Amino acid sequence: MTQPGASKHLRVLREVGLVHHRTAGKQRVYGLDARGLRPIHEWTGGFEEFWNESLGRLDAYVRRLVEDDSRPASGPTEEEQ
Amino acid sequence: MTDTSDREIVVSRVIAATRERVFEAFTEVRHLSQWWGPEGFTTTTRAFAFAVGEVWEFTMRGPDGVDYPEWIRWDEIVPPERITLLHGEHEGDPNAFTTVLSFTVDGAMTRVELRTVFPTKALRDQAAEKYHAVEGGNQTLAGLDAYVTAAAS
Repeated sequence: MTQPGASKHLRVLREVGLVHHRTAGKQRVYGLDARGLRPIHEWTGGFEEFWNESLGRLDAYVRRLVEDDSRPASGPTEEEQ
Repeated sequence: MTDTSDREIVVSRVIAATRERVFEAFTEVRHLSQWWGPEGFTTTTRAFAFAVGEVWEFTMRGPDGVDYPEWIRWDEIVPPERITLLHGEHEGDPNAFTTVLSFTVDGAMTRVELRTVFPTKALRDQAAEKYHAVEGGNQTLAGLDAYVTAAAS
């Protein structure tokens, strides 16, 4: 992305309150202000995150089961102790 | 976009195991207790039977020690393709909502899609808010990554 292109995007983000900035000489230093995203996050985020995280754990869990199956049967695995 | 899009939530994820294996992880408490809920949450089961019309009653405890009552009734079970469940806080919960979980083969892996259509947009927003509170923090992605990597090593 070109510098003018980046500036244009940042201006839009600034106008909707998602970034804040301070001036340092001729430069503007931008920082994220995620508070602007909160209403959107609260609208769908919680429930979606709940399932995203659960399915992420499910993925890790079944991977571990597959691993255990492929190991020689020599007593309990680390997870079961 | 469908006409229910303002009152539904869809989540999907590809899981690195066969469809039978992924489906099985829903069928027993010893499996469910290993992965249900966000990172750092634990579940304590009071009643469980995996059959149509039967329920899973449990308490979810967050990392901050807050308890959340949970009540799930299995309304449809089609191994290893689909599970339809009613999800509320207790039996007779007027705000309980229906979630359909679909399991489809994706090469050697399985795509799980979860679709919840809330009766009203207000109920959807309420659930989003409740689970936002349940979620408790966004620390998970890094932790999850580490967990998966450790499990695979």
